[in-house]
Amino acid sequence: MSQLQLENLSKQFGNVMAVRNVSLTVQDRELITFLGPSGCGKTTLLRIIAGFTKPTTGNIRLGGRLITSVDQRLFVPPEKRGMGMVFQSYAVWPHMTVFDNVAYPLKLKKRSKHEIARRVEEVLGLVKLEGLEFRYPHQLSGGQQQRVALARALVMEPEILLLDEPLSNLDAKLREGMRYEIVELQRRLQMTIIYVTHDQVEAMSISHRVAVMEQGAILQVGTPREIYEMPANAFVADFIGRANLVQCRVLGQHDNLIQCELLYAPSGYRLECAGPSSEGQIGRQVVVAIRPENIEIQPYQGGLAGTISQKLYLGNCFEYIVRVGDLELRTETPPHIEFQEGQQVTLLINRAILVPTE
Amino acid sequence: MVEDLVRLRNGESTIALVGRWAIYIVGGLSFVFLLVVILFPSAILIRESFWADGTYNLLNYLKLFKDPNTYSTLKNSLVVSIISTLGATVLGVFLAWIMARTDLPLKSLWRTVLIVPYLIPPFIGAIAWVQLLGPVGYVNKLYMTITGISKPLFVIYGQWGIILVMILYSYPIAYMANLGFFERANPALEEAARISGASLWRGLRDIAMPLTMPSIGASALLIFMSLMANFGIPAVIGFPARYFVLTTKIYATILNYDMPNNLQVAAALSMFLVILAAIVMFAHRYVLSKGSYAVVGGQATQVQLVELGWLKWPMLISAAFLALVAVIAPLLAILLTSITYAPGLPLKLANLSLRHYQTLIFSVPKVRRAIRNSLFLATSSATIIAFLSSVLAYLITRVRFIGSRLIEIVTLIPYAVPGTVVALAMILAWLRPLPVLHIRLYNTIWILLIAYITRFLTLGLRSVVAAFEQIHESLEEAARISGADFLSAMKDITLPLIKTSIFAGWFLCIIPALTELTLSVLLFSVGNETLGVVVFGLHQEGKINLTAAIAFLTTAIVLGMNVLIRRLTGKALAF
Repeated sequence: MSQLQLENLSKQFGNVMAVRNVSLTVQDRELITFLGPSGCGKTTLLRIIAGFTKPTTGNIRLGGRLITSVDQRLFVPPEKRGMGMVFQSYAVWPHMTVFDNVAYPLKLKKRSKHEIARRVEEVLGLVKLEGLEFRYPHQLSGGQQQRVALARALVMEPEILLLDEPLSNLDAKLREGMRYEIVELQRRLQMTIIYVTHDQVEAMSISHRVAVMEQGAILQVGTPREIYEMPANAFVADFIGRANLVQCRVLGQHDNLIQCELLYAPSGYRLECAGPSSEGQIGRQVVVAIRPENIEIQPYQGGLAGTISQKLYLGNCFEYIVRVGDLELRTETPPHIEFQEGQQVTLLINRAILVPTE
Repeated sequence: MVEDLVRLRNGESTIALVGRWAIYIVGGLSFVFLLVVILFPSAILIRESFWADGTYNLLNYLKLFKDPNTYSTLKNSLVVSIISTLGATVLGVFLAWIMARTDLPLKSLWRTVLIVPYLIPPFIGAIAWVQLLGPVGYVNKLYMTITGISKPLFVIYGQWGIILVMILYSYPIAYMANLGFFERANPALEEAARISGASLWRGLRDIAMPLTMPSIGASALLIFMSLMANFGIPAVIGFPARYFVLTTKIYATILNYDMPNNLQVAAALSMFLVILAAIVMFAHRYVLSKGSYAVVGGQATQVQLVELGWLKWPMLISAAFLALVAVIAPLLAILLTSITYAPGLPLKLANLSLRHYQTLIFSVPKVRRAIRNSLFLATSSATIIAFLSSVLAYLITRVRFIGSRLIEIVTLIPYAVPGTVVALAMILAWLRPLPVLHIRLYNTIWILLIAYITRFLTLGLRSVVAAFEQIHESLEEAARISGADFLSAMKDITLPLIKTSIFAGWFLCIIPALTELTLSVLLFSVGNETLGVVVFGLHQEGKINLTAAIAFLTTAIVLGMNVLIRRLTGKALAF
């Protein structure tokens, strides 16, 4: 079907390795996101898949057939890959109406006028742009232009849809709304979608799987839940959600949990961490990630002691920075519970993740 | 006034106040000066075109309309300009696309070399081409020697020679104007076409071309107008074949002392060019406004260059051929002629000599005079322009009074209108002595100075206005809130930032002023010759070796100055 296999893809620009030895299989009908900070190589990887950039090494197979192969000098040009793409800048053609923009791929395939009109109407209905066929792009809002780009990508029923940070130019409210629409569209049309973004909330909320990238390499691939709850390393732990990264020393293992002592804090505090047992050698110094929502604070009553050093009101919660020994930990409380700056508190950590070192 | 007294009371220093008023006064005077020096001759020109047989009437126009010569001259102008514009545009756009979008090897070499024709004054180019394709030019002699035929391959004099030289000296404009566009256009627009199923060529045809059209159209209009206004090329290449265009016809009419009312007839003839210039300006505005698509910009993604593959070789050969024809051959031709002992002698080492350079410098007094005059005129006009531009630019961008738009349009007139017409207007305006001062400007070097200033002012003005516009007012405001008064803010913040642009503007004016021909050839008088006049004159006198020598010298100076500017400002001077 439309399973996409990336094998050992690399791309070198001068001295810079933009993509390092990436191998990944995108399953049919899944929505997978390439997530990472600017410069991590996610857009380059997408452009290699689309055929705009030739990789330095590696192969790509679509539904079993080779579309890119450095060894065999095979590069199927973009126009023959049967993929749809929405660019970050939308790239809606300013000299054509909405109708002509969306009809273009079909015109190239030499479909009949009747069929083109029917299909364009259908797709414009899908993206909720009915009635705007004869407007020009400069007469549309950003959000509307983006839907035109999406309609144009969908009109030829591509095997794979590539989305390059499609929502980053929209305002926050619009972005949230569009997220739901994209998910709906994917479920309805059962399309394979490769989504590229630096916004981890976006990635987590819409994807079946997320591939976290940094400096050209994929650090971890998994479902949003796997990535959130079992980050493969410190970078992923910190990039996804928020995490307090602390140093600990391993004391032992018990019931699949690794016991550690929290370093740089008032002595003796023990944590129980989830994590691979291979990391649990006694005496080893490890990095542990504690998410703010997993730290509960109460008025001081013994145990791990801390002082509230800063407080922020966010409407739906309070965020705090708490000084614990030499550490500064972030935590939060629901809005009806409030602590004051300078107040002494007790911290209860109910979940910690041991983060494997590279 | 009251406001100023209030400011004084509130602590603004007297010096700052005086400084501000000084700028206003100087600005006001400059404005008035411009109106007098530009609008007054324009008005006189229009008025005189209606003067015949002692009254104001339409006789001059009627005579022109009835004369078949007028129509053939007009036809000649249009034919050479339109064909050359097409040729130059096609060549220039194609080059720009190749440079911006393909992986042609040795690009930095081509970038430097293929622009050279823009730096050389066109009439010197024309003289060089006469060396190559004149009746006994190098190419023709070579052809006749090799084939044994006694007729030359192609004699350059006449329509097609003019077209050839015009194309070779205007394609760089089309190239430079469109190169930036191709380099900065958002590649995503074409990529979107590719992923939608269009092949590379289809993408170019359906997407890239329509979006480039406004830019190409605008540059074509500019080239067309500059060719219609060109005097040097049709003078050098057209006169020997009695082929006239509007500019050379006007020139001939002005010098035709036997014709009664000749200046007035010339004025009437000039109006054609004026009206044409106005139409082209409006068309240019219109084309640019239509093309205000947000095409340029977007992400800084690498444009994927088109791989030429085997086409690389024919392209390289073509580029080399173009470099040979457009740059090397003409320069070589004038160099060789300048060091040949006497005209017609075969190119043997024994016949080479530097005596012509010697003669130029030591035995022809008007050459030394001309170099002195040109240096004086070029540096003074550039300096005065730099000063005027700074004051006017400040008034336009910071004070923003009602006349701002007017200033920009007025200063554009002597540049957009053909030089021949500007010269004629100045002759008509300043022929009689000035009323109060009883000084006659005509036949002095001062009329040349004023002509140069008005002609090139817009170059300096646009440069400095652009610089001011780039310095956001908040920079000066930050200085004020930090305690600097008006003058200090100007001195410490604004001036250092625009210094480079003023400098660049200075150079931008000095180079064309040094080699200026069109205005000088009509406004000079004995003792006030300029470099361009002398080169042209020597050519008309048939002294080909001396002409080649001084042409080569001038070219070397101009190219040298351009290298100097590139070093100083760190970028090539596009306009």
